[in-house]
Amino acid sequence: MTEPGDIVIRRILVALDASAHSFAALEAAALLAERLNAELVGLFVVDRTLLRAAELPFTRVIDPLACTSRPFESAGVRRQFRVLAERARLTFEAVAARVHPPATFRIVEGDVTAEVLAAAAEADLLALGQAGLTEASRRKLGATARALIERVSTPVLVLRRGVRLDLPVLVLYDASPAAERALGMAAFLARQYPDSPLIVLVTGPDAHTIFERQRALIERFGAGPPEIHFRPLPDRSPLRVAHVAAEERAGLLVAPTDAEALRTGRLIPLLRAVACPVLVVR
Amino acid sequence: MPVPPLPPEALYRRCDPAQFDFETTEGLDGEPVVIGQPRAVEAVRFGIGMRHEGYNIFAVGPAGLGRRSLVRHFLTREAAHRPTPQDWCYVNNFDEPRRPRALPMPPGRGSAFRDDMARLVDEARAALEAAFESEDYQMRRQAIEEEAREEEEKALEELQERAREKRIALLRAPAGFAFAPMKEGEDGEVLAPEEFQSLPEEERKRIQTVIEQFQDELIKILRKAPRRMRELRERLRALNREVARYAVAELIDGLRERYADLDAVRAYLDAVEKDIIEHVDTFLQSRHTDGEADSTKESPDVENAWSLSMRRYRVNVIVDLGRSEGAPVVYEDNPHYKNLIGHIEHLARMGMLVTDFNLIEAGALHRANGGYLIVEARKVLAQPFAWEGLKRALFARKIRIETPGEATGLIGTVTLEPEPIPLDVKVVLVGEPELYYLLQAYDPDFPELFKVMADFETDMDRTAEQERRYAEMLARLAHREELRPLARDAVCRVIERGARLAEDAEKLTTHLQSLTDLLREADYWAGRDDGSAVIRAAHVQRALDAQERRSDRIRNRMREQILRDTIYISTDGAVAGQINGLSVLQLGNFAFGKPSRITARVRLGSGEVVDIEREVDLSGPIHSKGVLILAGFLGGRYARTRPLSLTASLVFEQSYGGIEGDSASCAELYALLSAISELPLRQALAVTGSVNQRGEVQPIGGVNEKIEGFFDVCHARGLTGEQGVLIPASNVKHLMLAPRVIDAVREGRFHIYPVRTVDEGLELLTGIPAGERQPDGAYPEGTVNRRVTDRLEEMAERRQAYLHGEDDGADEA
Repeated sequence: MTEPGDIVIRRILVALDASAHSFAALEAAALLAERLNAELVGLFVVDRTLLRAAELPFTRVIDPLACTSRPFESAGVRRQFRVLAERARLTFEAVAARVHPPATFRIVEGDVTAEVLAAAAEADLLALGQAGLTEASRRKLGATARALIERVSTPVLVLRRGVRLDLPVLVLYDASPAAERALGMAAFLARQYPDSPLIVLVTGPDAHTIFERQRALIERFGAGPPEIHFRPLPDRSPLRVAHVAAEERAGLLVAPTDAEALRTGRLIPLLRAVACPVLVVR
Repeated sequence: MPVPPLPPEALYRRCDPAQFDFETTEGLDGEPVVIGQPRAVEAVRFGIGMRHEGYNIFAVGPAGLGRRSLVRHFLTREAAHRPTPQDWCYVNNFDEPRRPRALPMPPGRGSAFRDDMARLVDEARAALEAAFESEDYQMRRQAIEEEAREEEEKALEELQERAREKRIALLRAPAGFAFAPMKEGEDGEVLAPEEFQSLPEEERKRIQTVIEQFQDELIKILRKAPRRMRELRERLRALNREVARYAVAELIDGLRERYADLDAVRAYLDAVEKDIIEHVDTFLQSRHTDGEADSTKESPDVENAWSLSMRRYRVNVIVDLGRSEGAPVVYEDNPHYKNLIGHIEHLARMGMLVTDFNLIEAGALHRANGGYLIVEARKVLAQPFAWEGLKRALFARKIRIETPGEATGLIGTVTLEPEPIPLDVKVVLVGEPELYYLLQAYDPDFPELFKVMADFETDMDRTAEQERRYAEMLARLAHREELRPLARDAVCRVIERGARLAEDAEKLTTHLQSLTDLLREADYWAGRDDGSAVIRAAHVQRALDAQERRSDRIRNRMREQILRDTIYISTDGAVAGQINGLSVLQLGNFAFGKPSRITARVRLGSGEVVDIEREVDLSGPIHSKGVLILAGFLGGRYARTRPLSLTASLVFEQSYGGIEGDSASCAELYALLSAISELPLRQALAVTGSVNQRGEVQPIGGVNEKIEGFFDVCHARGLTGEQGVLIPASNVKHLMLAPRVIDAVREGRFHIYPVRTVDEGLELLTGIPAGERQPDGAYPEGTVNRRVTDRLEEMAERRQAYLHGEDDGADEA
């Protein structure tokens, strides 16, 4: 069982690639950092693979909007990264100016996934945009984001552009260990906002199990804080969850995940379906 | 034998109270208020009955005859038997919003349809929101989006996989995709440039070729993206339509059933359904169908915009006859263009004037469609474009709402062109005869459109039966005006007044306005003086006296000038060449008689009669004609064998305004003959009447006022018993004199002489017989005519002598 005291968030890492999604993540991370008195770390990774590819003599870059190709030049890629990094830094600083705890911004060169994973290992929460620059217009979950979510062990807060972190907090609960951790995290966050209840979507194979789980939770939390509202959810398909989240006007959905959930591919459709920010807890 | 004066009974035709069997008019009820208009009634009935085009009615007559009441009475009676016409609604034309559709509806169902449509919109909104928020919809939508996305993702992933097999990596750069060769090994790191360079040239070329192939493939995949997006949008639209159709079909089917009997409504409902399905996103404006944003809160702006966009489904009921029975009878009091034809209002929105079919306003023609429209001709003619607009609608048998600017082609701004509404209306114009004849003469359309003339009489015959009906009409008037009932004597007094207003003892006026005013005023006096429950004759008299009193300032002023000898009028004695003529002054509603001194002088001359009034342009043509007739008479009677050898001048003394009419020609002739014969005329008498060349006295107008005018002067000076007035005998039937005159006559202190010929008048005025021409052509001695002929002969001789130098001058008469 997770005790409220177990959770400490001292450092929030936000992966920035200068995309609108990543800036939405930055806003959310800054809000949390402010509320939790956590350190905000911004990380911009210059993709070494790309740099290397650009140095090859014949590579070309294909513009997905214009459907044309042009030479892929090392100098050009470096310049682009400089511009993007600068934009990310300026935005980070502007947002961080509203946050009192120390905020740091770093630019590193290397493999994107590896660098973010390494940095995440030193943080208590990772915030990232659901897709990068290239995929922005097409895909709801970018390849890098997907790779990170699958591999990182820190809770990951996923945002898309135009979406803000808000209240109330919803959490999916199925009594699995991951769900317990997710519930703990959700309760921890909800306690930061005493005016807003925590909404627990209790799932289970049958009505009886759901009822039992709910009763156990009522016993455990009592009157709160946080104040808890329950909502039984026999069907936990991504669309159903997304629908309930929309109905509840959720500001944040905390979703537990484990190796199994990732393997069966339940998480990714959920991330695609849900409109509000999702905090994935392992 | 001088003409005897008229007995008092001849001066006033009483209305005998004994002929009535009622005490008061309470409970006495005649049919319509208007009586004495058989011709007009026939015409109106005919006009109402004729259903053919162009048989509109023009009710002709002076104001105050009750034209409108009569027309309205018959129209209302007729309308009750005719079917209630359709309601009319304007609705949106979804194909062409600029041209709103006109929907006919059975009476009363227009407003029901409007309410049904309003409910439909509300219900459709709820149904659509529910449908589009349903999981089912979200699922299908997501599935479609997913499918479209997957296609590209799959293609990319498959390409990536094939590339990986050939040890080529698909990289995502900030500005696009790139391919690069990979190292051997699992982690798939990109080959460093120096490693690449170290490869054999053949291998390098192979890699380059492979990469180029992949690049081409990638471009192909990406090129499909716009088409895919389009397909996605189309599929989503199709889905939306399907869901929307399903959501609203039942609602609209309900209405379709309710209006199954109305083809036009059904067609409109089809269009509504199609439009809702096509514009489902406007219905869902307050929520976000794309699921991207989280705010579902409805702001007032959103609500506002929503209701604005929902205006398109409203129903503008411009004619609602739900509560009417029978055909409408509409009286348009202010028939300007907009009020007649209808108009399109505008709303100021964001600094612009905008409009839509909801702002179409009906005109009187719409409201009267299927029934009757009463309009006053003078008003409709006075309003710019109104007459033309009315005619255009009647000719076209359609009401086309357009601004006068558009109708005249002067203004061409884009505005609505509502579908014209078929027009079936009978128009009744109410107007004065002048207008009717002017329109007949100058407007070629007029006879085509207004074929029925309902000509109103200004008076009616006075028979016992008609007096009875008159009484009933008075009862009705009193009832309508909520006045006290009239006592029998009051009815009689009003009838007598009616005759006086008709200026004829054998006629009664049909001028309802005057009668109504009289009744109202009598009612006032009845209430004010003795709180009487009924109106009595005394009250009527009081009202008449008060009317007279209110208007007689000028009359009194003139009388005063006579009494103070500022204006010379003699009422006794005898003077040659001088006589009292009588004229009438009309001041608004009030007419009064006024004596004037007329003098004549003669001198030697060549036979002309000089009308001094005419010489100075103070005489109208009819007066001048009268004077010329005198010369004709003189010549014809006295100058058969020798020329008239005098020049006579005639003048209205102390007249400073113009003189018109020939009613003084008789008096002028007497003055002239007196001047010639030097026989003095009795100044106690006044004379009115015109004369013809044969010396016959002809009737004149205003006889009552003239007599009263002279009587009042004599009365003020003191009646001598000698005084009186000579009137044409043919005017006797017009006498309806004031009681004060009749009283004096009865007492023998004043006399009215009916005169047929000049000779009769001469006898009365001179006291000498006029004398009849004898077989030898001469008049007997001691007669007026003899005296005249002698004098004329004398003058002729003198003139003859003068012309031949035998005499030394003309003798002035």
